[in-house]
Amino acid sequence: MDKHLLEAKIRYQVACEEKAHHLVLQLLEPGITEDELVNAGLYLTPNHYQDITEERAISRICGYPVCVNQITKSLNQKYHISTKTNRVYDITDRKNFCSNECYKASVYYQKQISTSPLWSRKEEKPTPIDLLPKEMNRGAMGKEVINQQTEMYREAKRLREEEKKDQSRKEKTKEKESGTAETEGKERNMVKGDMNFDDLDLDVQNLNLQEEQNGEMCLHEIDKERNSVEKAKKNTTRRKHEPTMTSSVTSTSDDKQRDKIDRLMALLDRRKHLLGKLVQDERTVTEAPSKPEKELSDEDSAGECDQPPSQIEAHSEYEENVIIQSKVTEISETKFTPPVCVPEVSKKRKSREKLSNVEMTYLRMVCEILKEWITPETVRFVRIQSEEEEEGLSTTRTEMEAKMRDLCRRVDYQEAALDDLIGKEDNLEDQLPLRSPAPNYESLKKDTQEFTRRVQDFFAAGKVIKEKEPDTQAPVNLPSVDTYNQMLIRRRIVIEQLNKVIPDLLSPLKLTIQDMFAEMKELVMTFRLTSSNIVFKPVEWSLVGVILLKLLSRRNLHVSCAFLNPSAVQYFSVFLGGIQETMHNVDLYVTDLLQQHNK
Amino acid sequence: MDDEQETYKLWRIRKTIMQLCHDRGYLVTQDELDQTLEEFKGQFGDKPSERKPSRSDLIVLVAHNDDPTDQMFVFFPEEPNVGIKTIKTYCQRMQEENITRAIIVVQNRMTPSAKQSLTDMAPKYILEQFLEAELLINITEHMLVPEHVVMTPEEKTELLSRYKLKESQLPRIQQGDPVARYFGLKRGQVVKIIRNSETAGRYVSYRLVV
Repeated sequence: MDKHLLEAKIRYQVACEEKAHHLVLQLLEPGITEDELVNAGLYLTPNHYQDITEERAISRICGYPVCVNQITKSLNQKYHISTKTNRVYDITDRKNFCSNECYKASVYYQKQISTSPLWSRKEEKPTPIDLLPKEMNRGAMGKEVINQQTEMYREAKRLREEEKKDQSRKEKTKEKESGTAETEGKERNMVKGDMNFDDLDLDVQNLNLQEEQNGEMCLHEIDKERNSVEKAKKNTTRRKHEPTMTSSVTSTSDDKQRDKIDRLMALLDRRKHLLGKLVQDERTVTEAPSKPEKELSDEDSAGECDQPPSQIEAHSEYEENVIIQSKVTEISETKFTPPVCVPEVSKKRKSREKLSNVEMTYLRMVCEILKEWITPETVRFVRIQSEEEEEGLSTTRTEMEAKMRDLCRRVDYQEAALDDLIGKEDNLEDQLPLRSPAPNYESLKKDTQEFTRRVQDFFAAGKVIKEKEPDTQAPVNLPSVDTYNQMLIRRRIVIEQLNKVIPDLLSPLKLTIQDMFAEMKELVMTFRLTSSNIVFKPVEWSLVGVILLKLLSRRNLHVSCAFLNPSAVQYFSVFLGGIQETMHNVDLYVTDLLQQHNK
Repeated sequence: MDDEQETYKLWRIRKTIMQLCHDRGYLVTQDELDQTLEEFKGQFGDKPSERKPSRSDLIVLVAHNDDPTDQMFVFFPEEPNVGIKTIKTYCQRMQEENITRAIIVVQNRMTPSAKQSLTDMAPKYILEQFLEAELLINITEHMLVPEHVVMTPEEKTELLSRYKLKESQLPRIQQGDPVARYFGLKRGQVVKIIRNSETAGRYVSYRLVV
């Protein structure tokens, strides 16, 4: 029975193929009606249809079965270069048709043919196939191969993606609007019929082009926006620093340095902004957010003498100190600055005035978590190092003395030897034992005893020889065999996160990552990390970075010196100002951290 | 492509075709087998671009050595791509002249439906297709291709009885194997393959076409 079924099935499959072949033969004849073509589509595969177009082309009639035209032109080349549209087309398929319209209609039809095997279509519901109406037709020359604008498009896309990070959602909606406008325009174009062979319509590439233009539009929008932001910025700074603006002469040698500073300030600004946002979010949750706008301006005037430096003032003053302000700096600066920065900062300051003693500051929160990290080992790591450094000084002195004595002794020996050599040459050999003094009798005795004991043990063969291990040796850190060790993974996460934030913190400290990396890693090794206490927000990570650097400064004089750097002081005061903290507070917290394991 | 190259190509193809016909047992004169390029140019011309020769001039009709009524056509279609239409015209011609075998030498490619129509006619008319590129050299002259000898039905039955074998117990060779195509082997035929052997001198094996 099974065999019969199988046979029937195979026969059916063969019959389907046969039918398709017959249809292909039918469609080769000129003068096919549209209905015939639509019907045939249900019993063909795209390959069959491809075959039909080819066969028809061989017999010099247009490949589109409905078309009755002859193919008059025979093209030998594989590509067509259109000078009108600056595009290159692959015309291998296009050669089979009398015109672009037929080609497009054919492609349109072929795309609708089902790709499933012929014999499996019995159960399927046939999807209706429609033909491209004549007046809609304006096909392209062929598959587009090289499009000069694709490069531009790619570039625009790349830029757009970069900008997206900084820009708000508003941009996107604008872009969409422009996109729809574009499509409408295109559709209008499409209606115009043009029968010229060489006039290639672009509506096959509609989508492509559209996107491309979107990209450009987006760039324009962004530029515009940026310009307005710049203007606003410039105005504010002009009000405040009129004298500096007049001296906008720049010398080329300053440019590099200025760039550096700009970058630094931009980074600072962004960080500050983020921190500010964070704090504000927190506040809005805990407190009623309503605040009269008037206070804002009041504070602006009073802010300068305040302990948290008003950010704009601070950084522009700083710039003033180092370098003359110029328009160029303004522009490059604003590039990095989020446009919302100014109001955010002042609002935050305002809220800080009111709520100076909120129950939980960010710094404290971070410290609480960091407390969990700290182990006695950490404390030892930090402490011992500094002690060692002190000890190191004294040891070097004693070492020096010992060396000196050694040297003196050796000189003495040599002098004596010289004297002897001159005095009595016979005694030359007697001096040799002096160089290797006879071993101590006691130690010799001990050695022999130990040796005999071991020999006896060996012959007794029952006992296991216990070799004494020196207790004082530091525990050897073997590489962990288990790559999935939780602790290792956590450490890796922490170090990864720190690697992101530390470089930014190190630049104002004038330290390099190479200086710090090894020590930072060692420090992290001493921590007790759990799955819950290594989760921070990006901004919190930079706080963690600051605290860890502070910890390291306890043990490394170099680092603590770096914190006294004027640029570092400036940077950190502004940075911590964002969360209403000072360096002093951080110091207190750090001592607190270390204290907990001292008891 | 310039005329020089094209002429050379056509000469090579025709030469291989002649050898093929000869190896299949059709009557080909020694002159035709040994035809040089100069002789070819003299006979057909040396300007293929001006249809001197055109492909249709190259058509070969050969008769079998043993049975002169068993004839074979070799067609050279003008079109680079061969479609059903071309096949049909050739079929008509074969019908008119009562010839059942033909070889079609395709320049570029044959459409799938044309290939199918070849198989559709299979039992009555046997049409084989070769690409021009396949015929530029004679593969059986290649040093790595051992000598193949097609066995007659009598030889085949003798072989099977001698070794007390069934057909299915023989090693096999595919019908699409280049050498099998060269000899135009059909399913069920047996080919004797003679290889040189360092230890035995000659090593003979038999393969059944599947």
